[in-house]
Amino acid sequence: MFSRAVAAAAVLLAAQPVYGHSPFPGFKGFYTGLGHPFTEPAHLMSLIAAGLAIAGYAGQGAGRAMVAAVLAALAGMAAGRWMPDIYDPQLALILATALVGAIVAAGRPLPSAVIIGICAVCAFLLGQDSLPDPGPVDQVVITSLGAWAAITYLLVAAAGGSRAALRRWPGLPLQIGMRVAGSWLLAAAGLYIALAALT
Amino acid sequence: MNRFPIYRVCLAAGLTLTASAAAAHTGGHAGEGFLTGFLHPLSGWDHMLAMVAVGLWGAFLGRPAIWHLPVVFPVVMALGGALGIAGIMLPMVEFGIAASALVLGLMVVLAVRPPLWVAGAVVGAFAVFHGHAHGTELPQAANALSYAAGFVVATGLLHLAGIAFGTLIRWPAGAITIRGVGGIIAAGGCLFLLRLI
Repeated sequence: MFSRAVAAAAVLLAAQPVYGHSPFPGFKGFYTGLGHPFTEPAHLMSLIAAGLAIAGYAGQGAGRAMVAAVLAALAGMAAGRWMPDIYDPQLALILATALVGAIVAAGRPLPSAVIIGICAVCAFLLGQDSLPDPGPVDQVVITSLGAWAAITYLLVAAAGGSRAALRRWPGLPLQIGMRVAGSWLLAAAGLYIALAALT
Repeated sequence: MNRFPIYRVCLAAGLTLTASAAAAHTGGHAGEGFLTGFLHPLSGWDHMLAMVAVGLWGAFLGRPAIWHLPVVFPVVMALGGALGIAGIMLPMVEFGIAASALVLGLMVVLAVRPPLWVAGAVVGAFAVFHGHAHGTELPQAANALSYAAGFVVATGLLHLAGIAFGTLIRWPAGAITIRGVGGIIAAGGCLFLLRLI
């Protein structure tokens, strides 16, 4: 078993750089959108926060929460094109992330409807902030779909992975770890908000 | 029959030796900011000792301090970080950081068990100094959110290291060891203070 693990790690380390490109003409935007949430700290943080909240506090409503969040992200993207600029989507997203982080850090049970609602708002703002720059309609749509796919993947991975871990190790240490992770998200988001207020 | 798969280990070792350098980058400003922030608490023994002491004291105090302190500290630290990034001066920051190692180490070595709110207040007060120090040293080109996430995560991991060590409390010899480590941290804090004078 150990030797297999070592062999697997060695094979991974032996990987050469991959000089791939989009295999389908015109689909480059999809991959651009796909990579977007991974390179935006605010987006990554919000997805991790939503995933932890859904896994830890949505209870039986976890599935509904994920569906609601995924659809809200799509709605946010659609709304972002036509909504007037009355607020900064990224700052609003970071505020929502701070709120979700605080909920996770507090560790107090909340009605699943509240968790679903807050995560949906978070995802809506995320979708709004994921809108690509103006351009040809087909490219904007393709890039948006790529970003939406990545958001869906990351949310399901965060929520599903956390939920699986909680089931596998239901004891106190992991629950404490989740609350500590929530405080990290709250702290980082809170610093950004404080900075925005002070400068 | 020798079932030890020596040939697999040799194969694995051979593949490892053939690996070339991974020419990856950190993803531009966001990645660099996170890495810079992550390394900052690890760049000074005063930070590291104090962070481990927070986790150690929390584990020593037991529930609910074991998670309250590691939750309170990063949140208050972020406020201090914001003050630092915004250029708002805080007096005697280095003194506060050195004192944190001394005080928190003494809390452990003397087995001080104050009410939870007192422990939270002590930890929170020192957190402002640590955060301010991290914030003032934010590189100009770094993404502030990534940098904040980096130093918050590194700080949290140091807390968790302290907590992990603090679980030795369940054994009598472990309790003595923990208090000994607290003494070392306090001595380190004292040394840092003397250097500032």
